[in-house]
Amino acid sequence: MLRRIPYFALVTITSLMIGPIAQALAQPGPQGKEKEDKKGKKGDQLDRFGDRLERLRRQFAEPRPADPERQVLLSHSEVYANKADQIWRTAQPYIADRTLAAAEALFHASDHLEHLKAPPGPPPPPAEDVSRHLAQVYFRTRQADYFLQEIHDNSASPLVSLARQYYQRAVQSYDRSDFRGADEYGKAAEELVKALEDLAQAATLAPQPRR
Amino acid sequence: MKSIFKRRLQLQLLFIVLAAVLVAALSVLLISDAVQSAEGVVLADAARTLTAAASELDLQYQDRVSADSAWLALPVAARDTSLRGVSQAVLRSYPGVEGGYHDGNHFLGYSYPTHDTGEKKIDVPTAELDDILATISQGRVAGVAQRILRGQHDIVVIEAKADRQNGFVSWTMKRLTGRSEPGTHRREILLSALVLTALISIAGTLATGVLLQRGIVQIKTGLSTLESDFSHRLPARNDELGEVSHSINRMAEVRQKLEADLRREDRLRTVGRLVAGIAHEIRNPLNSIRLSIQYIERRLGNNGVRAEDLRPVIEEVDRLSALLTNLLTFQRTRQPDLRDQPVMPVLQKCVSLVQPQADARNIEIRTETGPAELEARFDPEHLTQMLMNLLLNAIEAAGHNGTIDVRLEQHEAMARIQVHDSGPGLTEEQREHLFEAFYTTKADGTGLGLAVSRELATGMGGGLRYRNERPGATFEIEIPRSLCERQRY
Repeated sequence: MLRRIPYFALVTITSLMIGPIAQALAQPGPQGKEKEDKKGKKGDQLDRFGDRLERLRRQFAEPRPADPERQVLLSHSEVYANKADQIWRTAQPYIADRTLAAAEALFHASDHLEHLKAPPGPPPPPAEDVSRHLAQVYFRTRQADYFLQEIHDNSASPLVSLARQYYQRAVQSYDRSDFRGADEYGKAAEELVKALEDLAQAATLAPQPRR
Repeated sequence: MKSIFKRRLQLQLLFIVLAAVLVAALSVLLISDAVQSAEGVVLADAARTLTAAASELDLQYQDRVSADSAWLALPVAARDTSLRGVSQAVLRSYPGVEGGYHDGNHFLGYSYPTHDTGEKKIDVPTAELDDILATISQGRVAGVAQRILRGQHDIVVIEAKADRQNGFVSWTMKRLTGRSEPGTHRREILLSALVLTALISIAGTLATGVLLQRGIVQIKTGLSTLESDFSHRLPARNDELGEVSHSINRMAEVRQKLEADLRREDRLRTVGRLVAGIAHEIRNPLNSIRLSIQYIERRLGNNGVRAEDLRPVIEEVDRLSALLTNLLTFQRTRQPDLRDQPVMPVLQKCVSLVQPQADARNIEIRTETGPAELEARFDPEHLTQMLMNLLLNAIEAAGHNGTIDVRLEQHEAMARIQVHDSGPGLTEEQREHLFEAFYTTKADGTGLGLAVSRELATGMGGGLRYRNERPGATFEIEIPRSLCERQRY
């Protein structure tokens, strides 16, 4: 019976069983009870990594917009998406996940700029909601410097400037009673800060060099 | 009331000193109060700050969670980074405050963005770790908890605010390190400066008051001496009162010179009148003597010369002799021999000398002696001569059955002798020329008595004047009181 089983099949089955276990053990993931509680959810999230990356790449393949600002955002997004793919391949799924989240946030920021160009759709949110949202965005932009400091990567510094620039535009739009513009620019700024936060989280999760 | 206004400067100085003492007392009270309440105020201020910071941390945490539902599923390190961004942004507005979150198992998002050294702090302070955890535990039970740790050099205040729904706790902490608190240090400097200023102002006010008081006493004494002795000068000083003293000295010099000039002019004028008077006075007796001798000459021819025929000659010669005696007295320049002595004996002697003449005219002399022990500084011969002049004049003026009042009294630094007669008094014209030499209203007067008397009074540092106060005539001699009695003024 044993002779009938091909040797390579045994090797393949064994490696399929050991591989995920080894990968999981190699990550600085959650510890203790939290690790047990959230294992399933994280597993799902990590399983979706490929889908998310694939979806993003499909969107990159579409014709690029003429707007130079959107081009910059998409360019950064693509860079981080590729970087996430590379990290994924080095078996660091959490870092890859955070980097991919940053790429997605940058893409969403670009989307918000695109919405401004599109014909008016549903009515914009009420002024009170926009005002409250802008206050929150202002608080988020105050965190941008800290996140940039944690990233240790100068290539991300334009994102901080852009976040502030979009926040300013949002405030100016609000002052002109252009609540749609205020909402979209505010969301764009918020997405940029979120991208910085994701990158800072990725940097924090990365193995620290020995002192 | 009058004396209060008289001492106005002293009152002002007293008021200033009292005000300075009050300022000092208030400063001490203020410092005492400030020291007692400083800690309470600082602690209350710190507690308010920590409460506000913890509330804002809590609010931002809830916003963060509600904005991204997947965020809670992130690894602890990732959430720690996110929350540190939050706490950095929040606590940047609260100088000296550090803090973060606690999820029941881990400290998350700790930061201290306003740390003095500027060094990035990412670890929860180990020295206070147990107290922070204890405060967090209390906060988790009570909702809000606060703890104050009093160290040897500082005070640490910790505050925790719990979100009871998810068990998440926001915590904040502040160190109050005594002298390092800029507000406390500045307050100490200001209070010390206030005390120092108050002390300096008190010392300065007291010193100024004492110096001023001494200077005023010095000037007052000097002025008092100047009243009787114009050669006296106030001592020199190097302050503003010294300038006043200098001015007074200059005025005294000018007055002394003016007085000497006036005296010389008066003497020259008097000499002029004297010469005219002498010519007039000598010519009349000489005419009379000439007539008498011519008469005797005729009688000699008739061998009928009698002793009565020579009487007019003798009388006129006697008159000329008396005139010359008065003139010599008027011209006398002998300095008075001034001594401190009682006035009363001299006065009584003069009254007793003129009493027979008064009795002959049935004139009553009433003596009001005042203080019996009153002493003055005078030459007894000069005073006797003056009093005799005045009393004899009074007897003549009072007439038969008249009265004469002699009164001795003290007035501040002077002794006064008033001689009043019940006669008709003086006309305005008489009063104008009263003390001029050779001015007389009497048929046989020389007009030198009052002029000589005034000269004598002035020579003793006093004076002689006529007082037109009541019916009759009143003459007043003023002489300085004895030195020891004068110093009281």
